[in-house]
Amino acid sequence: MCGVKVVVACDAVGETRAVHAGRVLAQAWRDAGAQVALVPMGATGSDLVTALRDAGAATGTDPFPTARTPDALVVVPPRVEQPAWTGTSESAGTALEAALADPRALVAVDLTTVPAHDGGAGLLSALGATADTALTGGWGALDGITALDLEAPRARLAGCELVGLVDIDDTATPLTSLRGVSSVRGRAEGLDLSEIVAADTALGALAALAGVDGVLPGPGAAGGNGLAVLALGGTLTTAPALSAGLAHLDRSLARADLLVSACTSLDIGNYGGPVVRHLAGLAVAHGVPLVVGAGHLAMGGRELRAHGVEAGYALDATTARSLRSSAAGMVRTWTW
Amino acid sequence: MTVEITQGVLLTDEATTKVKELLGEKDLWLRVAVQPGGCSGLRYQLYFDDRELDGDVVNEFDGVRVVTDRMSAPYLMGATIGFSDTIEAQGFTIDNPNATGSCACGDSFH
Repeated sequence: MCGVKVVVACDAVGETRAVHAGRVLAQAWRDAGAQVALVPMGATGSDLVTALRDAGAATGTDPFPTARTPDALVVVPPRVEQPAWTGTSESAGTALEAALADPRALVAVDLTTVPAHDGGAGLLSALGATADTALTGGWGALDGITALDLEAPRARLAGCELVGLVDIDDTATPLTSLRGVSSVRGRAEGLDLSEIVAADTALGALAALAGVDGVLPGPGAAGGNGLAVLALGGTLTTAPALSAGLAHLDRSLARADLLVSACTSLDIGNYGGPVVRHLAGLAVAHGVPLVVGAGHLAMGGRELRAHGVEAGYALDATTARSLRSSAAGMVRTWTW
Repeated sequence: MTVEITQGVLLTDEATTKVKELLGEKDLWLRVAVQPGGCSGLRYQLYFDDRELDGDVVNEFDGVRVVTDRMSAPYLMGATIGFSDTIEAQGFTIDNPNATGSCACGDSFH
Protein backbone atom coordinates (compact mmCIF):
# COMPACT_ATOMS: atom_id res chain seq x y z
CA MET A 1 0.00 0.00 0.00
CA CYS A 2 1.64 3.21 -1.13
CA GLY A 3 -0.49 5.33 1.15
CA VAL A 4 -0.70 8.44 -0.98
CA LYS A 5 -3.93 10.31 -0.31
CA VAL A 6 -5.65 11.43 -3.49
CA VAL A 7 -8.72 13.59 -4.03
CA VAL A 8 -10.35 13.08 -7.41
CA ALA A 9 -12.63 15.92 -8.56
CA CYS A 10 -13.38 15.83 -12.25
CA ASP A 11 -15.35 17.86 -14.74
CA ALA A 12 -16.99 16.09 -17.63
CA VAL A 13 -14.59 14.78 -20.26
CA GLY A 14 -16.29 14.95 -23.64
CA GLU A 15 -19.42 12.79 -23.45
CA THR A 16 -18.28 11.14 -20.22
CA ARG A 17 -20.02 12.64 -17.23
CA ALA A 18 -17.94 14.10 -14.40
CA VAL A 19 -18.67 11.48 -11.75
CA HIS A 20 -18.19 8.60 -14.22
CA ALA A 21 -14.80 9.95 -15.27
CA GLY A 22 -13.97 10.48 -11.62
CA ARG A 23 -14.87 6.90 -10.73
CA VAL A 24 -12.57 5.49 -13.42
CA LEU A 25 -9.63 7.62 -12.29
CA ALA A 26 -10.36 7.00 -8.61
CA GLN A 27 -10.33 3.24 -9.18
CA ALA A 28 -7.06 3.49 -11.10
CA TRP A 29 -5.42 5.20 -8.14
CA ARG A 30 -6.97 2.77 -5.67
CA ASP A 31 -5.58 -0.14 -7.68
CA ALA A 32 -2.17 1.51 -7.37
CA GLY A 33 -2.55 1.47 -3.60
CA ALA A 34 -3.69 5.02 -2.92
CA GLN A 35 -6.41 6.16 -0.56
CA VAL A 36 -8.92 8.05 -2.67
CA ALA A 37 -11.76 10.49 -2.04
CA LEU A 38 -14.10 11.21 -4.96
CA VAL A 39 -15.82 14.62 -5.10
CA PRO A 40 -18.72 15.35 -7.47
CA MET A 41 -18.10 18.61 -9.32
CA GLY A 42 -20.14 20.67 -11.75
CA ALA A 43 -19.02 23.47 -14.03
CA THR A 44 -22.56 24.86 -14.13
CA GLY A 45 -25.68 24.46 -12.02
CA SER A 46 -27.00 21.88 -14.45
CA ASP A 47 -23.72 19.94 -14.40
CA LEU A 48 -23.73 20.05 -10.60
CA VAL A 49 -27.26 18.62 -10.44
CA THR A 50 -26.16 15.82 -12.77
CA ALA A 51 -23.02 15.15 -10.74
CA LEU A 52 -24.87 15.06 -7.44
CA ARG A 53 -27.47 12.70 -8.87
CA ASP A 54 -24.75 10.44 -10.29
CA ALA A 55 -23.15 10.45 -6.84
CA GLY A 56 -26.42 9.32 -5.23
CA ALA A 57 -28.38 12.48 -4.46
CA ALA A 58 -32.13 12.17 -4.56
CA THR A 59 -33.92 13.19 -7.73
CA GLY A 60 -37.41 13.28 -6.27
CA THR A 61 -40.45 14.46 -8.17
CA ASP A 62 -39.48 18.11 -8.67
CA PRO A 63 -40.94 19.75 -11.74
CA PHE A 64 -37.55 21.35 -12.49
CA PRO A 65 -34.02 19.85 -12.53
CA THR A 66 -33.16 19.54 -8.84
CA ALA A 67 -30.72 17.56 -6.77
CA ARG A 68 -31.15 17.07 -3.05
CA THR A 69 -28.82 15.94 -0.30
CA PRO A 70 -29.80 15.83 3.38
CA ASP A 71 -28.52 19.39 3.84
CA ALA A 72 -28.77 21.05 0.47
CA LEU A 73 -30.75 21.36 -2.71
CA VAL A 74 -29.68 22.73 -6.07
CA VAL A 75 -32.37 23.81 -8.54
CA VAL A 76 -31.79 24.81 -12.15
CA PRO A 77 -34.59 26.88 -13.71
CA PRO A 78 -35.29 25.75 -17.27
CA ARG A 79 -33.37 27.75 -19.85
CA VAL A 80 -35.50 30.49 -21.39
CA GLU A 81 -34.99 31.89 -24.86
CA GLN A 82 -35.87 35.57 -24.55
CA PRO A 83 -34.15 38.88 -25.32
CA ALA A 84 -32.26 39.62 -22.12
CA TRP A 85 -32.69 43.40 -22.31
CA THR A 86 -36.47 43.25 -22.01
CA GLY A 87 -36.71 39.88 -20.24
CA THR A 88 -38.08 39.02 -16.81
CA SER A 89 -36.46 36.71 -14.27
CA GLU A 90 -39.88 35.44 -13.12
CA SER A 91 -39.40 31.84 -14.29
CA ALA A 92 -36.24 31.57 -12.18
CA GLY A 93 -38.34 32.48 -9.16
CA THR A 94 -41.04 30.00 -10.16
CA ALA A 95 -38.51 27.17 -10.18
CA LEU A 96 -37.08 28.27 -6.84
CA GLU A 97 -40.57 28.54 -5.33
CA ALA A 98 -41.34 24.98 -6.46
CA ALA A 99 -38.12 23.65 -4.92
CA LEU A 100 -38.97 25.31 -1.61
CA ALA A 101 -41.91 22.94 -1.23
CA ASP A 102 -39.29 20.63 0.31
CA PRO A 103 -36.56 22.96 1.56
CA ARG A 104 -33.10 22.26 2.86
CA ALA A 105 -30.72 24.22 5.06
CA LEU A 106 -28.89 25.37 1.92
CA VAL A 107 -30.90 26.28 -1.16
CA ALA A 108 -28.95 26.99 -4.34
CA VAL A 109 -30.51 28.33 -7.55
CA ASP A 110 -28.79 28.71 -10.89
CA LEU A 111 -29.21 32.36 -11.93
CA THR A 112 -27.70 31.99 -15.40
CA THR A 113 -30.41 30.07 -17.25
CA VAL A 114 -32.96 32.90 -17.38
CA PRO A 115 -31.51 35.86 -19.32
CA ALA A 116 -33.13 39.04 -18.03
CA HIS A 117 -32.36 42.65 -17.20
CA ASP A 118 -34.71 43.33 -14.31
CA GLY A 119 -32.41 43.07 -11.29
CA GLY A 120 -34.17 39.85 -10.33
CA ALA A 121 -37.46 41.67 -9.82
CA GLY A 122 -39.38 38.87 -11.52
CA LEU A 123 -37.67 36.29 -9.33
CA LEU A 124 -38.61 38.24 -6.21
CA SER A 125 -42.19 38.56 -7.44
CA ALA A 126 -42.50 34.79 -7.92
CA LEU A 127 -41.55 34.39 -4.25
CA GLY A 128 -44.22 36.83 -3.14
CA ALA A 129 -42.53 40.23 -3.23
CA THR A 130 -44.72 43.22 -4.06
CA ALA A 131 -44.05 46.80 -5.13
CA ASP A 132 -45.85 49.92 -6.34
CA THR A 133 -44.88 49.03 -9.90
CA ALA A 134 -45.07 45.77 -11.81
CA LEU A 135 -42.15 43.47 -11.00
CA THR A 136 -42.60 41.04 -13.89
CA GLY A 137 -42.47 43.44 -16.82
CA GLY A 138 -38.70 43.80 -17.18
CA TRP A 139 -36.73 46.90 -16.18
CA GLY A 140 -39.08 49.16 -18.09
CA ALA A 141 -41.96 48.34 -15.75
CA LEU A 142 -39.83 49.40 -12.76
CA ASP A 143 -39.91 53.05 -13.84
CA GLY A 144 -40.93 55.21 -10.88
CA ILE A 145 -40.72 52.44 -8.28
CA THR A 146 -40.79 53.87 -4.74
CA ALA A 147 -41.82 50.92 -2.58
CA LEU A 148 -40.74 47.28 -2.39
CA ASP A 149 -41.99 44.69 0.10
CA LEU A 150 -39.74 41.63 0.55
CA GLU A 151 -41.45 40.28 3.67
CA ALA A 152 -43.09 37.36 1.89
CA PRO A 153 -39.96 35.98 0.14
CA ARG A 154 -37.90 36.45 3.31
CA ALA A 155 -40.48 34.46 5.24
CA ARG A 156 -40.50 31.83 2.50
CA LEU A 157 -36.76 31.40 2.90
CA ALA A 158 -36.67 31.53 6.68
CA GLY A 159 -34.16 29.03 8.02
CA CYS A 160 -32.56 28.53 4.62
CA GLU A 161 -29.23 29.79 3.39
CA LEU A 162 -29.88 31.06 -0.13
CA VAL A 163 -27.12 30.79 -2.71
CA GLY A 164 -27.20 32.07 -6.27
CA LEU A 165 -25.00 30.31 -8.85
CA VAL A 166 -23.27 32.58 -11.37
CA ASP A 167 -20.46 32.22 -13.88
CA ILE A 168 -16.87 32.17 -12.67
CA ASP A 169 -16.04 35.46 -14.42
CA ASP A 170 -19.20 37.20 -13.24
CA THR A 171 -18.97 37.08 -9.47
CA ALA A 172 -17.88 40.71 -9.03
CA THR A 173 -20.04 42.50 -11.59
CA PRO A 174 -21.69 45.66 -10.29
CA LEU A 175 -25.35 46.32 -11.08
CA THR A 176 -25.20 50.05 -11.75
CA SER A 177 -22.79 52.79 -12.82
CA LEU A 178 -20.45 52.81 -15.76
CA ARG A 179 -19.29 49.23 -15.32
CA GLY A 180 -22.73 47.96 -14.36
CA VAL A 181 -24.89 45.63 -16.40
CA SER A 182 -26.95 48.32 -18.10
CA SER A 183 -23.91 50.22 -19.29
CA VAL A 184 -21.95 47.19 -20.44
CA ARG A 185 -24.83 45.25 -21.98
CA GLY A 186 -26.48 48.33 -23.46
CA ARG A 187 -23.31 49.55 -25.12
CA ALA A 188 -22.48 46.06 -26.40
CA GLU A 189 -25.89 45.99 -28.08
CA GLY A 190 -25.45 49.49 -29.43
CA LEU A 191 -28.44 50.86 -27.55
CA ASP A 192 -29.10 54.56 -27.23
CA LEU A 193 -27.58 56.26 -24.18
CA SER A 194 -31.02 57.45 -23.06
CA GLU A 195 -32.20 53.85 -22.78
CA ILE A 196 -29.01 52.77 -21.01
CA VAL A 197 -29.35 55.58 -18.47
CA ALA A 198 -33.05 54.79 -17.95
CA ALA A 199 -32.32 51.11 -17.30
CA ASP A 200 -29.47 52.00 -14.95
CA THR A 201 -31.74 54.38 -13.06
CA ALA A 202 -34.54 51.82 -12.74
CA LEU A 203 -32.23 49.09 -11.48
CA GLY A 204 -30.52 51.52 -9.13
CA ALA A 205 -33.89 52.42 -7.61
CA LEU A 206 -34.75 48.74 -7.17
CA ALA A 207 -31.40 48.04 -5.52
CA ALA A 208 -31.77 50.99 -3.15
CA LEU A 209 -35.22 49.81 -2.05
CA ALA A 210 -33.80 46.32 -1.55
CA GLY A 211 -31.04 47.68 0.67
CA VAL A 212 -28.25 46.73 -1.72
CA ASP A 213 -25.58 49.11 -3.07
CA GLY A 214 -25.74 48.54 -6.81
CA VAL A 215 -22.25 49.91 -7.40
CA LEU A 216 -20.57 47.24 -5.31
CA PRO A 217 -19.30 43.98 -6.86
CA GLY A 218 -21.89 41.25 -7.13
CA PRO A 219 -25.47 42.44 -7.70
CA GLY A 220 -24.88 42.67 -11.44
CA ALA A 221 -24.03 38.99 -11.73
CA ALA A 222 -26.13 36.94 -14.15
CA GLY A 223 -27.38 40.06 -15.87
CA GLY A 224 -28.59 41.56 -12.60
CA ASN A 225 -30.37 38.48 -11.25
CA GLY A 226 -27.74 38.47 -8.50
CA LEU A 227 -29.47 41.45 -6.89
CA ALA A 228 -32.49 39.31 -5.98
CA VAL A 229 -30.38 36.81 -4.04
CA LEU A 230 -28.42 39.54 -2.25
CA ALA A 231 -31.66 41.38 -1.43
CA LEU A 232 -32.88 38.26 0.35
CA GLY A 233 -29.72 37.98 2.42
CA GLY A 234 -28.15 35.30 0.23
CA THR A 235 -24.73 34.99 -1.34
CA LEU A 236 -23.41 34.44 -4.83
CA THR A 237 -20.97 31.75 -5.82
CA THR A 238 -20.04 29.48 -8.70
CA ALA A 239 -21.08 25.89 -9.29
CA PRO A 240 -17.53 24.57 -8.76
CA ALA A 241 -17.22 26.53 -5.50
CA LEU A 242 -20.55 25.15 -4.30
CA SER A 243 -19.51 21.64 -5.33
CA ALA A 244 -16.35 22.02 -3.25
CA GLY A 245 -18.30 23.44 -0.33
CA LEU A 246 -20.91 20.68 -0.29
CA ALA A 247 -18.14 18.06 -0.22
CA HIS A 248 -16.07 19.92 2.39
CA LEU A 249 -13.21 19.77 -0.07
CA ASP A 250 -11.14 22.14 2.08
CA ARG A 251 -11.02 19.54 4.83
CA SER A 252 -10.02 16.80 2.40
CA LEU A 253 -7.30 18.92 0.81
CA ALA A 254 -5.84 19.68 4.24
CA ARG A 255 -5.03 15.97 4.46
CA ALA A 256 -4.43 15.13 0.81
CA ASP A 257 -1.16 14.59 -1.04
CA LEU A 258 -2.55 15.02 -4.52
CA LEU A 259 -5.56 16.56 -6.29
CA VAL A 260 -6.63 15.05 -9.58
CA SER A 261 -9.05 16.51 -12.08
CA ALA A 262 -10.08 16.00 -15.67
CA CYS A 263 -11.81 18.09 -18.30
CA THR A 264 -12.77 18.10 -21.94
CA SER A 265 -10.23 20.65 -23.08
CA LEU A 266 -7.25 22.31 -21.40
CA ASP A 267 -5.98 25.24 -23.45
CA ILE A 268 -5.06 28.89 -23.12
CA GLY A 269 -8.59 29.91 -24.04
CA ASN A 270 -10.39 28.18 -21.19
CA TYR A 271 -7.62 27.08 -18.80
CA GLY A 272 -9.53 23.87 -18.30
CA GLY A 273 -12.93 25.43 -17.64
CA PRO A 274 -14.59 26.57 -14.41
CA VAL A 275 -13.96 23.34 -12.44
CA VAL A 276 -10.23 23.16 -13.15
CA ARG A 277 -9.83 26.91 -12.65
CA HIS A 278 -11.48 26.73 -9.26
CA LEU A 279 -9.51 23.66 -8.22
CA ALA A 280 -6.25 25.34 -9.27
CA GLY A 281 -6.95 28.10 -6.77
CA LEU A 282 -7.71 25.59 -4.02
CA ALA A 283 -4.62 23.53 -4.83
CA VAL A 284 -2.35 26.54 -4.61
CA ALA A 285 -3.98 27.66 -1.37
CA HIS A 286 -3.48 24.24 0.20
CA GLY A 287 -0.06 23.53 -1.28
CA VAL A 288 -1.32 20.34 -2.91
CA PRO A 289 -0.26 19.53 -6.48
CA LEU A 290 -3.07 19.46 -9.03
CA VAL A 291 -2.72 17.21 -12.07
CA VAL A 292 -5.28 17.35 -14.84
CA GLY A 293 -6.18 14.94 -17.60
CA ALA A 294 -7.87 16.42 -20.66
CA GLY A 295 -9.57 15.12 -23.75
CA HIS A 296 -7.71 17.84 -25.60
CA LEU A 297 -4.47 19.12 -24.10
CA ALA A 298 -3.02 22.28 -25.65
CA MET A 299 -1.05 23.96 -22.89
CA GLY A 300 2.63 23.57 -22.21
CA GLY A 301 4.07 22.70 -18.83
CA ARG A 302 5.24 26.20 -17.96
CA GLU A 303 1.87 27.75 -18.81
CA LEU A 304 0.07 25.08 -16.81
CA ARG A 305 2.21 25.66 -13.74
CA ALA A 306 1.70 29.42 -14.02
CA HIS A 307 -2.01 28.69 -13.65
CA GLY A 308 -1.84 26.31 -10.72
CA VAL A 309 -1.74 22.99 -12.58
CA GLU A 310 1.35 20.94 -11.88
CA ALA A 311 1.03 18.73 -14.96
CA GLY A 312 -1.40 17.96 -17.77
CA TYR A 313 -2.06 14.69 -19.51
CA ALA A 314 -4.03 13.74 -22.60
CA LEU A 315 -6.91 11.35 -21.98
CA ASP A 316 -9.08 9.27 -24.28
CA ALA A 317 -12.54 9.18 -22.73
CA THR A 318 -14.22 7.34 -25.59
CA THR A 319 -14.90 4.41 -23.27
CA ALA A 320 -14.21 3.65 -19.62
CA ARG A 321 -11.49 1.25 -20.73
CA SER A 322 -9.78 3.79 -22.99
CA LEU A 323 -9.99 6.36 -20.20
CA ARG A 324 -8.38 3.97 -17.75
CA SER A 325 -5.61 2.92 -20.10
CA SER A 326 -4.85 6.48 -21.27
CA ALA A 327 -4.56 7.57 -17.63
CA ALA A 328 -2.06 4.82 -16.77
CA GLY A 329 1.02 7.00 -17.20
CA MET A 330 -0.50 9.80 -15.15
CA VAL A 331 -1.35 7.36 -12.34
CA ARG A 332 2.08 5.73 -12.43
CA THR A 333 3.87 9.10 -12.33
CA TRP A 334 1.73 10.44 -9.48
CA THR A 335 1.84 7.48 -7.16
CA TRP A 336 4.52 7.17 -4.54
CA MET B 1 -8.98 78.06 2.75
CA THR B 2 -11.79 77.32 0.36
CA VAL B 3 -11.55 74.41 -2.00
CA GLU B 4 -13.53 74.77 -5.16
CA ILE B 5 -15.05 71.51 -6.29
CA THR B 6 -15.54 71.48 -10.02
CA GLN B 7 -18.69 69.84 -11.28
CA GLY B 8 -18.80 68.42 -14.73
CA VAL B 9 -16.63 69.12 -17.70
CA LEU B 10 -14.76 72.34 -18.45
CA LEU B 11 -14.35 73.86 -21.90
CA THR B 12 -11.41 76.07 -22.87
CA ASP B 13 -11.91 79.22 -24.89
CA GLU B 14 -10.41 77.53 -27.95
CA ALA B 15 -12.73 74.57 -27.65
CA THR B 16 -15.72 76.85 -27.10
CA THR B 17 -14.92 78.77 -30.25
CA LYS B 18 -14.48 75.59 -32.26
CA VAL B 19 -17.74 74.08 -31.00
CA LYS B 20 -19.62 77.25 -31.89
CA GLU B 21 -18.12 77.11 -35.35
CA LEU B 22 -19.19 73.49 -35.79
CA LEU B 23 -22.66 74.04 -34.39
CA GLY B 24 -23.50 77.09 -36.45
CA GLU B 25 -27.16 77.86 -35.84
CA LYS B 26 -28.05 74.39 -34.56
CA ASP B 27 -29.48 74.21 -31.06
CA LEU B 28 -27.50 71.23 -29.77
CA TRP B 29 -25.53 70.23 -26.68
CA LEU B 30 -21.97 68.96 -26.63
CA ARG B 31 -22.26 65.61 -24.90
CA VAL B 32 -19.17 64.08 -23.33
CA ALA B 33 -19.47 60.47 -22.26
CA VAL B 34 -17.24 57.70 -21.00
CA GLN B 35 -17.76 54.15 -22.07
CA PRO B 36 -16.14 50.93 -20.97
CA GLY B 37 -13.65 49.62 -23.49
CA GLY B 38 -10.37 50.31 -25.17
CA CYS B 39 -7.02 48.84 -24.18
CA SER B 40 -6.86 50.88 -20.97
CA GLY B 41 -10.44 50.22 -19.88
CA LEU B 42 -12.39 53.42 -20.60
CA ARG B 43 -12.92 55.59 -23.69
CA TYR B 44 -14.26 59.06 -24.31
CA GLN B 45 -17.13 59.87 -26.62
CA LEU B 46 -17.77 63.42 -27.86
CA TYR B 47 -20.82 64.21 -29.96
CA PHE B 48 -23.63 66.67 -30.43
CA ASP B 49 -26.93 65.76 -28.88
CA ASP B 50 -30.35 67.37 -28.67
CA ARG B 51 -31.54 65.62 -25.51
CA GLU B 52 -31.14 66.11 -21.82
CA LEU B 53 -31.21 62.81 -19.93
CA ASP B 54 -32.33 62.24 -16.38
CA GLY B 55 -29.41 63.00 -14.07
CA ASP B 56 -27.30 64.87 -16.65
CA VAL B 57 -24.65 67.30 -15.35
CA VAL B 58 -24.83 70.48 -17.43
CA ASN B 59 -22.36 73.37 -17.71
CA GLU B 60 -22.49 76.34 -20.04
CA PHE B 61 -19.52 78.13 -21.55
CA ASP B 62 -20.28 81.32 -23.44
CA GLY B 63 -23.50 79.91 -24.77
CA VAL B 64 -22.18 76.41 -25.45
CA ARG B 65 -23.89 73.76 -23.29
CA VAL B 66 -21.73 70.80 -22.28
CA VAL B 67 -23.55 67.84 -20.82
CA THR B 68 -22.41 64.62 -19.17
CA ASP B 69 -24.64 61.67 -18.30
CA ARG B 70 -25.01 60.43 -14.75
CA MET B 71 -22.85 57.34 -15.25
CA SER B 72 -19.97 59.18 -16.92
CA ALA B 73 -19.94 62.21 -14.60
CA PRO B 74 -17.80 60.67 -11.80
CA TYR B 75 -15.06 59.94 -14.33
CA LEU B 76 -15.12 63.44 -15.81
CA MET B 77 -15.22 65.76 -12.80
CA GLY B 78 -12.89 68.62 -13.61
CA ALA B 79 -11.88 67.25 -17.00
CA THR B 80 -11.01 70.02 -19.45
CA ILE B 81 -11.81 69.83 -23.13
CA GLY B 82 -9.49 71.88 -25.27
CA PHE B 83 -8.90 72.32 -28.95
CA SER B 84 -5.54 72.26 -30.69
CA ASP B 85 -4.65 73.10 -34.24
CA THR B 86 -0.87 72.79 -34.32
CA ILE B 87 1.56 70.66 -36.19
CA GLU B 88 1.78 68.33 -33.19
CA ALA B 89 -1.89 67.93 -32.40
CA GLN B 90 -5.09 68.64 -34.24
CA GLY B 91 -8.53 68.32 -32.82
CA PHE B 92 -10.24 68.20 -29.46
CA THR B 93 -8.19 67.17 -26.43
CA ILE B 94 -9.25 66.03 -22.99
CA ASP B 95 -7.15 66.71 -19.90
CA ASN B 96 -8.71 64.55 -17.20
CA PRO B 97 -7.39 64.72 -13.61
CA ASN B 98 -9.25 61.47 -12.88
CA ALA B 99 -7.25 59.47 -15.39
CA THR B 100 -4.39 57.60 -13.76
CA GLY B 101 -3.00 56.20 -16.96
CA SER B 102 -3.61 55.80 -20.64
CA CYS B 103 -2.45 53.61 -23.45
CA ALA B 104 -0.12 54.16 -26.34
CA CYS B 105 -2.93 54.53 -28.86
CA GLY B 106 -4.17 57.51 -26.86
CA ASP B 107 -7.68 56.22 -27.25
CA SER B 108 -8.41 54.91 -23.79
CA PHE B 109 -7.62 55.58 -20.17
CA HIS B 110 -8.25 54.15 -16.75
